[in-house]
Amino acid sequence: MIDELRATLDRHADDVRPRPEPYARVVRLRRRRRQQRVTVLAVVFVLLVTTPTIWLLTPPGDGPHQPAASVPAALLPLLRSPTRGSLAGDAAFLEVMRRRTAAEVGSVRGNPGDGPYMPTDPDRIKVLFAGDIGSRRYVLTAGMDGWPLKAAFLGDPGEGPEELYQTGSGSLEAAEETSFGTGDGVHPEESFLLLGPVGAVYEEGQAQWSSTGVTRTWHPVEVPDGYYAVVEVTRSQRLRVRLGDTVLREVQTYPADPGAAVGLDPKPYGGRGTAFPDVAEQVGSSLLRLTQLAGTGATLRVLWSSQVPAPGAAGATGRAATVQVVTTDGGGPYFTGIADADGNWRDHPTGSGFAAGPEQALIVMRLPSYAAEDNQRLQIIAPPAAVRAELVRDGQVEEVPLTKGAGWWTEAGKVTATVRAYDAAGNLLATAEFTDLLPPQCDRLNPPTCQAPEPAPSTPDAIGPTG
Amino acid sequence: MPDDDFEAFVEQRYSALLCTAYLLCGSRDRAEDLLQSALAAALPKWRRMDHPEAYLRRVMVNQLANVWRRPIREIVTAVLPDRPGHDPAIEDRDELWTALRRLPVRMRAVLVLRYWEDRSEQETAQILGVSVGTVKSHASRGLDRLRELVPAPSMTAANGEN
Repeated sequence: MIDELRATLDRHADDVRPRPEPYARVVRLRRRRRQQRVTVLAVVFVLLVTTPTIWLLTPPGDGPHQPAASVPAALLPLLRSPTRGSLAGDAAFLEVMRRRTAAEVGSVRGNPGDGPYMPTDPDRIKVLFAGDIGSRRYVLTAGMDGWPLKAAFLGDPGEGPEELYQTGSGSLEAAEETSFGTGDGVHPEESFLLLGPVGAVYEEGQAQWSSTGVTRTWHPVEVPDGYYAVVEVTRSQRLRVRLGDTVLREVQTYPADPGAAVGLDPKPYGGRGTAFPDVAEQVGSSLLRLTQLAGTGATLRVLWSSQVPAPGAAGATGRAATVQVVTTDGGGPYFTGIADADGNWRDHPTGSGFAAGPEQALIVMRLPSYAAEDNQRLQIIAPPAAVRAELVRDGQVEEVPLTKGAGWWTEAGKVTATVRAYDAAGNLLATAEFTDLLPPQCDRLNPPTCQAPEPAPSTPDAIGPTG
Repeated sequence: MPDDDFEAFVEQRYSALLCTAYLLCGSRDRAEDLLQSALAAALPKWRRMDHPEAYLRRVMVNQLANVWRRPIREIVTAVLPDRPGHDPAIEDRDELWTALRRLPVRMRAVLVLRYWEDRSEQETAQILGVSVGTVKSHASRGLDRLRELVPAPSMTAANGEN
């Protein structure tokens, strides 16, 4: 148990990355606290003198619980919407949550110079949601000035606002999504909430997958309470929130329970590698969930499966498998996963996407890593008749030998190359463009997230007011 | 207020302390807040401090214990992960980590200090300001609790269950 505990802690510690300029932030925080102490009496005095005047002079609609003009326009509809949730009418509860947010979040994330921030004045904080979803009490608050920060609190139904515990904070979005575990640790369950502005349309998408991509047909979802909540997520859903013609957010739900075995043939197509039934089963299960095809009887095939090096993995190796959904045109979406000797899983953004059938498809991917540095191995999965691949970069050509269509080369830096696969007679079988340089949010099974270059984010100036 | 020694200390030790903070609280956002807050508290006392790392760890644990006063059961991720659309079946099925987050703050702190930082019982007791007996008791009960929370089959044959 102790060894496994150490390994678990090591693994999670490896993923921690500090934000930039830690010292400067400490100094700013210290300075702010000192200033807060020095000025608190003065502030109280000023408030006592000026509040009645401000109240008299403030125009209607710009009161203490209205977002300021400096908030990005995309966030205003949500911030101007009434509080949702079963506790929305409990004014005392909401007031405590505003005060707690100001004291616990505003005190440490209240500097506009640090990015999204939370006001230290409770009247500048909005409770967006307060209520019970299944066996959890959930509260979401957000600042109403500048670049708003949100904060989330969780607890058990029936708990008072002082008893909820803060679970996280982050930049507010035009529509908010959250999910949280509600099981007992042995029988996992997942609850889900999607919260858009009042007047928004909630829709569920039905996907049609092919070898080249996915199209979705959207159908409205009823939201009589003004939000979409699922007490226990038992199926994967693609959902979006739309305000007019603008899609505010598109998300996917995942059930906590992986469900029944998918039952696929673990032998890799064309003898490309070694069969690992448990890995293929797990990757297939994940692919079906990612594509919302679980339980639909979709056919899966293993394109490639092999033991490969994996930096940071237990034993420094992992068992990898690439699995594809077979759609009506013979190809379909594929996904690659790797498991190390301890059963820990990883994937890499380049390891998923869309491909034609295995006699035509050429897939190139960087394998996953368990450490901060990339795995240096790049894998080629070509038609089984291919015996060699060419890498073409900057006019230079390198050759990679292939066995039954599978081969690899190693390279540490980011790679962009054209890859061509040839059979023994020198016939060109397939061509693929490969790049590591995917946009940071890229999910290749969700092509819009991989369009590059990304447009400049509409985040406001972190210091000055914005329109 | 700025102090060259303190700045050098922060630059050199921040990442390691952030790891500890993260293991204590289970949230990256919260870990940054926790460590920043502890460092801000340490800054004015810096020149008089003999064991700054021990002080920082104790402050972090106390802050957690005072704010939450309860076990951490789950974490809502407010900031999107590096790659959206990951399948929880693969990425989040870490029962031991989930179980660890359900332990009371001080029990969890003892396990992190003893088994991740490899501190002795004596050192752990000094850092947390408790007796060696309390450390022994927390470590033993913490491990017992983890065994209860994590089903035995996945402890020994975790393939596919991470």
